Amino acid sequence: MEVIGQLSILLAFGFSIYATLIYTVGISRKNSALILSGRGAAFSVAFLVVLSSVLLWYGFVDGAYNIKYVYGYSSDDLPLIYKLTAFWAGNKGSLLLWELLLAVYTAIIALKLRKIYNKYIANATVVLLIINIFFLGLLAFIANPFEAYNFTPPDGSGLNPMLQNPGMVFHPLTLYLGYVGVSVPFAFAISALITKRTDDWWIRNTRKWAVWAWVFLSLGNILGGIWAYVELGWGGYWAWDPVENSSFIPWLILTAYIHSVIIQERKNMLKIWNVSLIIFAFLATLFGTFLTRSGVFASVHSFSDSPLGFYFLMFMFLVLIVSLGLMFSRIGHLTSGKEFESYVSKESSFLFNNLFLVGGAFAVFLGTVFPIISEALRGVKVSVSVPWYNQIMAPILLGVVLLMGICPLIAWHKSSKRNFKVNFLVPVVLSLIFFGVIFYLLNGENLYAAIGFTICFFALFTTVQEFVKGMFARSKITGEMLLKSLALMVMKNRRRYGGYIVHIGIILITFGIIGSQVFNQEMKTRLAVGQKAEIGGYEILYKGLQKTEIQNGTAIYANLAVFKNNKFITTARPEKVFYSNSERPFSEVSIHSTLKEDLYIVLQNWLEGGRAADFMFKINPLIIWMWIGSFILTLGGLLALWPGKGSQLNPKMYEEVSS
Amino acid sequence: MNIMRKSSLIILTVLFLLSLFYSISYAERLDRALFKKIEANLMCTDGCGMYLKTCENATAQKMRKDIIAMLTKGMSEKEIYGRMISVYGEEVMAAPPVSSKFNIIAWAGPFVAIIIGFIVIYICLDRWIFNSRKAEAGTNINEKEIEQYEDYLDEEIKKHY
Repeated sequence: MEVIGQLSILLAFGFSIYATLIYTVGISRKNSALILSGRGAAFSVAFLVVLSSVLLWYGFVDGAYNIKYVYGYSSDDLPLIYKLTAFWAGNKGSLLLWELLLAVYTAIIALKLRKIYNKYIANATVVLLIINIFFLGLLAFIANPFEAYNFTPPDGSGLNPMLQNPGMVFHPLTLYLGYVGVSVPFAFAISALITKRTDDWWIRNTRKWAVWAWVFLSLGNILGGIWAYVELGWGGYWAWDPVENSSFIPWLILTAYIHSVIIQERKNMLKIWNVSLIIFAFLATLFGTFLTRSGVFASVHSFSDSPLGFYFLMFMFLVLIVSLGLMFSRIGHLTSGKEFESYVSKESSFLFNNLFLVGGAFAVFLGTVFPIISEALRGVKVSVSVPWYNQIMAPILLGVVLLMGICPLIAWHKSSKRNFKVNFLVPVVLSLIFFGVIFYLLNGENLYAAIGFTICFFALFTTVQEFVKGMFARSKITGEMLLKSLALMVMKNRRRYGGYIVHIGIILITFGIIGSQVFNQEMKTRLAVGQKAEIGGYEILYKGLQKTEIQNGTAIYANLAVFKNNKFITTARPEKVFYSNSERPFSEVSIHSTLKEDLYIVLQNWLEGGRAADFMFKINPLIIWMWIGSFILTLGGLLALWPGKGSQLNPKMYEEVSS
Repeated sequence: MNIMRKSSLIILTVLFLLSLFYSISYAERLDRALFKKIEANLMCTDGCGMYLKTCENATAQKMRKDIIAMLTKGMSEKEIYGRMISVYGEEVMAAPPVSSKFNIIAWAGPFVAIIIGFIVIYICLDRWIFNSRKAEAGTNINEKEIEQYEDYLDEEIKKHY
């Protein structure tokens, strides 16, 4: 099996080279037959990569421990679901996952090529194939997942217990769907530069790919945060870890891109900016992969040191040089068409939106690499962690949310004084009232939090207002019932209202972040059996320890009765799990969630067989709103992705009515 | 006379015990708050990449004991940071210490970049708006008509976008 798997990868590598060459010749000679041959080769690459992936999955399920990778990340007692996800638990498997998705995406793009010669799609396919060559080359010669022993161990060494969590089923997969998805609009942008066709054709053809990538990057980041929250046992969801940052940077850049392409579609402007954004978004995904594989930073998310980091660094430089060189060589074709009419317009608000998003990306990048820079230039190593990010990123991201609120109030082209006054008066007045109330409720403390909550209120109000105004306007014109008008309005303008729904999701996430960061409470204490602790209005009674066997280990948990206002709420059971393949125990936290707050409990240690135990209790206010917001964000993204009429930039909503 | 002496002695003893109790309680509360702040501003130094507040390994536990010992000795927050830096290097701080001029780059860099971005956007907008107004120089529509058309156009755009 390992021979077939390895051979599949080698053949895929060969086919990708062939496809690249034959496409190139076909393009230069305008020969459709040659391009179709390349198309077939691209399909072959996809088939072979799928085959090798299936074989690796089978190896995990079947316990093929003669394969080093399977031995390193699996064992007989590992539950089936984690045998399947062990595929991407290590360096080589995650690289194969990246290539699997890339090959499938490439085949989908190649599928667009039919008998009609289309150099634009052909060139985009060539770019994707070149990326395939890089990854397949690594898999074939540097990081072979089918490397085998000359003997078969009786059992595997097991999977890291921290990866035995549902989040690890979905987080890497969604993240990679997003990461790899960025390759497609990047490829089309490069194709646009090669062919000198720099109008919005490539944007229109790849908008959904960009949104697809964005949705899955969002999900990947969110699911990673959820995994950290429930698995790492420190009570937080985002530690600004270098590897976490590496998935946030492309998200920020891609978010900016999705907004700025609207300007190019409407006004044929910002071409240079858009091409730059997609180039750097793609580079950011490579940077993220570089970070996890280079050993440059210590991280719970990193793989062990490997030589792959060097190759990724070289590939990044190559992409940077070629892409920017190509862009600058086409600078004349990227000159703007129309002009702006006013400083105060929806178009200009998009520019400032981009400024904050890209500024945020730069800040995160600077924070990530600053330790390296300091060590290189001064010989002094420094750390850049949570306190720095909280102070730097909070105003930037609040600025983004503020612009979310302002944008719906600003008119396209030019916002007149009357327009400005009419649109801003009510939201601003209500927001000021809200600020007064919230500041009073906070006892005049935490000004920053009050400002943050007020910005969230303002943005939420103006966004919901768009739905309400549109609903009433349509209902008045068409005579439909309000709810029907709302539904039809949204469905006929999915891109616009999908975006607004995403904004609502972001606002709710921000709301949750502010609450959980500013108002959290923490207590570390030792409780004897029968003793109570009090935190945040909860009383927590320690009743003792118990032990239970699980499939691949033993769990010791504390029984805690939780009361609030003298009423029993729940029984919490924080655990320490001793896995058969690990020398140290792992915490499994207990979380009691409400709309107001989470009660987060960690069993840290115990004495005398459990007569006394050490606990960390934490109150995380409003944290569930992050997950609610995440769900809403995903719905909005999927709505914007939904195909058919209504996904265009300017659908003619009233054609049906007028006819 | 003997009764008065005994009463005074008892009162003094009680007062001493009360003052001792409150001083310990006050110090304990103050130390705990300051301890948490210091803990949140330091990194665990065993290479795990976690900051001290969230790390529970042996190195982190030792560091916490060291901090408590220093607080007990009456060292100030600044002095504790200085001591930790002298032992572990600047890396122990969870954010680049501003005592080094080079580290100011980390703090100022993002905002300087954004300010530069604002300036660039302003210059671009200025040029684009100038070009737009130049192209409109030949029109004869007055301001009132423009405003009316703009309002009408805005309403039409809202209907379709």
